[in-house]
Amino acid sequence: MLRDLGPGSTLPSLAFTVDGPSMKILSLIMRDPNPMHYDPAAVQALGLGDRPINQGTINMAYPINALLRIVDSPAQLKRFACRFQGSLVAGDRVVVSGLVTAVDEETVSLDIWLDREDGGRVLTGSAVLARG
Amino acid sequence: MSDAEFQALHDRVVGTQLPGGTFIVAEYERWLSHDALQSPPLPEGLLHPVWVLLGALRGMGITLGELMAIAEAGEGTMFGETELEQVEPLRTGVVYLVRGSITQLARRESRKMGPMDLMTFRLEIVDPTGAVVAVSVQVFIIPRRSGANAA
Repeated sequence: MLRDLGPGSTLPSLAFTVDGPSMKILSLIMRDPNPMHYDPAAVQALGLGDRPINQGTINMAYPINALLRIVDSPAQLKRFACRFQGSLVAGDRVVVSGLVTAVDEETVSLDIWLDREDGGRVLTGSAVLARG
Repeated sequence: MSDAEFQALHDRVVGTQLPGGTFIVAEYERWLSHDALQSPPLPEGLLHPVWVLLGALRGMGITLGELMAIAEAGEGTMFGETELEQVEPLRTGVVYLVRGSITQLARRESRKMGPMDLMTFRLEIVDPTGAVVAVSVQVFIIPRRSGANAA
């Protein structure tokens, strides 16, 4: 898959649904006590709606997952960077998109972004993948 | 916070070495985290690249709250940017060392948020042979609107 990509190629779009129980697991793994990731009442008390807010670490995992699907080994992901621009709540649907910006003998560089299906950018990033 | 106060905070904070420490990821944590991250299947024992961030935070020897307190961060602090470099994938069952420091504190003015500081910290993950196998760079946004500071 990676070997077929050249400058201007687009990444196959990949959709995810933000999952509430996954936030609880990540809270435990990260030892993150912030209740906005697991307690709807706490989210409501903050005036942020009534659904738990996804961790940034899960938001960044979605585009990384899209990259992992086009490489033979996770070792080929050499660099990933992103800027967080919006939040997601349980039940949101998101889509990862990407564009190859450069290819050389050793690496493929991409811009990658995550949007809500109903509109709105969640994060913008870039990545460098080793070709093999 | 005046310019002089910001400069004093900058000089005090930038270069602060974090205590550091170690972390290890058990197989059940790999399974559960990959499920939560909706990861595609990965080869046995290899960790999702998000673990560069998770492991670095776990092993840096200080909580995020304590780290933010160094920069006198108050309510509204947000995760702004992240960067990870992976020399090789992290693995379960390996004791990794984490070391790093606060590398930057920059003043910015946002139309929406008013004055804010961007605090950057960089953490290296070192394997048992002494090789740096991954690097995590995080930028947190610290609002400095009047009354937003903890200090």
